[in-house]
Amino acid sequence: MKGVIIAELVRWIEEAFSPAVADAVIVRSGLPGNGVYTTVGNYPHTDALAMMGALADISRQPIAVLADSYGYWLASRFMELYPEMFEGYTDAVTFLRDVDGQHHREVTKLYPDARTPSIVVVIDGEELTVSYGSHRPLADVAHGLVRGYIDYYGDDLEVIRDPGSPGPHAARFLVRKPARVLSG
Amino acid sequence: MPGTPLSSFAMPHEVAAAIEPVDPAAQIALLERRLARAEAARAAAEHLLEQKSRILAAANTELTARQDKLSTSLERRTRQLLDAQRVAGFGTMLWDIKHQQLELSPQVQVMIGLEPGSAVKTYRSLVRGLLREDRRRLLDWMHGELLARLERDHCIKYDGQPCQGSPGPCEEALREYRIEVRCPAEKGGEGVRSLRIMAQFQVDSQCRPAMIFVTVQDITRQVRADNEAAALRARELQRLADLERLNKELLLAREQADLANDAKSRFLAMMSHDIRTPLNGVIGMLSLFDESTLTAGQRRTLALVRSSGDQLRVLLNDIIDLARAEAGKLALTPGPTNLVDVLTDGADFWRHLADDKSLSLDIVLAPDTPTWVEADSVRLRQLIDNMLSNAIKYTSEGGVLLKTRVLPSGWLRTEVIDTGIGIPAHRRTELFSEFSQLNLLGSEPGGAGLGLAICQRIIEVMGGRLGVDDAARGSCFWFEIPVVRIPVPKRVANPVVRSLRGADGRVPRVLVAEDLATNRIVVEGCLRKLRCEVHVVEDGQQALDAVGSGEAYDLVLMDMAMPVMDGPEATRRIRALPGELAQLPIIALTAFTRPEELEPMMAAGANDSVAKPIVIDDLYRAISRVLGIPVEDDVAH
Amino acid sequence: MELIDQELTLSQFEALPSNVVVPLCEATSADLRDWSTRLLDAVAAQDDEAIRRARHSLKGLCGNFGAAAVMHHVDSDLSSTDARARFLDCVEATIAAVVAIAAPLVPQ
Repeated sequence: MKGVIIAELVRWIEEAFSPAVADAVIVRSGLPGNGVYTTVGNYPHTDALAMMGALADISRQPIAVLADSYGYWLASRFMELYPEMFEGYTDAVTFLRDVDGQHHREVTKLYPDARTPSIVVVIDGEELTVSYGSHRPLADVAHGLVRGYIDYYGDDLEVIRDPGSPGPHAARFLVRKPARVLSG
Repeated sequence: MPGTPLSSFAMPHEVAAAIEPVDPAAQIALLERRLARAEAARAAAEHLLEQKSRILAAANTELTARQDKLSTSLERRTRQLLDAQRVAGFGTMLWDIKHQQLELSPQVQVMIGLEPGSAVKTYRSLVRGLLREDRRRLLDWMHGELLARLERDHCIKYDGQPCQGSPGPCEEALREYRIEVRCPAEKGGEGVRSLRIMAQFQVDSQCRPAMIFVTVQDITRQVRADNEAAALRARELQRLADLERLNKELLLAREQADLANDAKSRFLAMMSHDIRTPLNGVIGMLSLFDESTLTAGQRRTLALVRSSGDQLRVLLNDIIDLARAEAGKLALTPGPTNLVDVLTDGADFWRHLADDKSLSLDIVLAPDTPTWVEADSVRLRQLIDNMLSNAIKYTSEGGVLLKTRVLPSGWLRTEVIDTGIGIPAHRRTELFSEFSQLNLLGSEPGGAGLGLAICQRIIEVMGGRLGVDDAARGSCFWFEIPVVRIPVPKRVANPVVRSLRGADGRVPRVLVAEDLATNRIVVEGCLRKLRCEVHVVEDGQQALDAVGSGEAYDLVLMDMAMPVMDGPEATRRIRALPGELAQLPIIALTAFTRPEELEPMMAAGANDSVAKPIVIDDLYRAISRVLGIPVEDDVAH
Repeated sequence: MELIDQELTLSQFEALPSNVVVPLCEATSADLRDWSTRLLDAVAAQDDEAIRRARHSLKGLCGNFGAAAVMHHVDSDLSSTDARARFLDCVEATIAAVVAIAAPLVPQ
């Protein structure tokens, strides 16, 4: 797993909860690295899962909710960290369409050992279906990320997670205009 | 939950209380841990960055080396390409449309008579390099084809639809524009260089023309070869036309010749028939000459006339044969043929001619030569006669040999080998054509030379082959024909041997009255062959005495003219005898077959008659008739 | 003109038992000579009946062999010495011809 995901997780916990909660999560997780992560390194994704688990214990919040929130927050962080990735895009749908084809390829180019998730986007009329698949059980993070991008571009779209899709390694999201807009 | 604010993660109080440090020592410890982590992360990042820098530097070094190598290789390849262009007689031009720049490879500059490396900015330099009469053509081509293409934003596909600029070159983008022009081979010289210019557009992703890539090929040699080939082909076509015309003329001439030849054949055949009738009359009359009344001189003249007449007759027969053969009317009448007889008879027939010229004439028949075959004996003899007479005619010393043998195929091969003058190989084909008589050294003229032509036709009808080869001295004429062996036939000349027997199985007792010893022998011989008992007397009186002697005869054969008592008288007397003797059957023997001559015998009471010379079959039938014995027809067949 | 009909003569001899070939030849020679002489005598004597008789016999003889030449002479004018000589020559030639045909048939 790219260091950015796990390093930002620690940062998010410090911001969303507190530095003490983050410290407690690290200590409780008993991770060998003792919470030392850099964005340029690579770390086992199990570290992230362990910290999520610890956070859920401490905060008494479901992991799915926590992961979704983290994904939502991460979308805006990506924009701060990698503005060139979003250059030329004016809407979330086009960006999402290119995520797997271009951005993940860019990631792979820069970090040959990175294992990016597969994102398949199908546009059917005004609806967009995003299928997420990864060896990492981070479907909830992906959900949050999608929501984050849509909010960032200010698109009037809702994201519905297909309840039939099995998590947490895979998920399907339906991105569409909210029904109320269509009816109004 | 969407849009959940970050602050909403409020911790339960007891949880927060357990985690958040309250006393300063705990707060300091937390800060120290965070600081240590940050410090460790920074160190790790620095370490990683340093590592990556090293890797980058190494990569950079390697990339630089590769780039050097590539540019060297590129240079070499460019050089090779230019060399190849020079050797292959083609050059390249690149016309950058956007920047209006023309780039000519050195070879193109050489072709159009520029110094290699001259600065050429526009295509007008290229135009100026051409022959004056080709410049306009090239400009028209460029404006009409290339610039017209440039004026369109998108190319038009072959189906007439505008190209949508889809990724990748469309069909028209790949289209090749070409023209052939000429320029002086060298400055001020008279020689002409032919160039083929081929242009292709290079398009951007929207199929808009970006550059024109042009190859210029020196096709002088090819054009010259094409021109020469065209000239050669034109000459060949002319020659072909000449030959066709000649062939047509020849065909026409041959057709006319064939017609004339047919007419000639018909005329000859008709004339020959018309001539033969009077000729036969002449020859017949000649035989009636009483030579004893002639003087020696007249006799010589007569002999000459006769031999000339014979020659003429032979010639006429040949012509008629040939005409018949040409009309396809030469038919074979095969029958049982004694091959040995035909060959020996043929040789014997010509022997006197060979003797006259002191030539030997021998026959050698291979042991397996069949005696009896199914063949047309007359035509076979004609072949033998022709070949033997020719051989003798053209041989002045030595001899002629007639040979036969059976080939492994079962065919009969007959050869006539002479020691004559021989025939040159190149004249052999003439031999078998009509009216050809080779005028050979030492040969004597004679005959019309039709013989071999007739032989050829006969052999054709027989389904065989005919030819001539060299012999040790002279020639060997040969023919090969299919023959069918047959068993020895019942000889037709042999009379049927039958025996006369009455109803009681007893043989007839016959009394013969004949004054001439010769006739007595003939009649007696015939009767004995018919298994009759015979008693012979020499005149009518003796016959009468014999009948009256009490000897029991079944029949009397009575000659007419006899001394002492003739046939009619004796017949009358027998009829006057008492009892059954008067009924004795009497057959008249007579040399005359006219009814009035038979009259005296029939009037005297003869029952039947047989004409002399006696033929055994006639005798058998007459006796059977008068004795009431059934005739056994064909019993011996 | 043919002296004799060779085929006819041959068939005559072949039709008879082989033991009569020689007697037939002898009889033929004798008869031909005999009747030729008689004819010439009859001509000399101008005895028409004898001439008719002799002519008849000779023709009968000649019929056996198709002796056309002799038959021809028999009917001709035999009054001249030349004609008589030629007639006798012809008769002799005919006899020779008949014997020549018969010779191969004589049993050895």
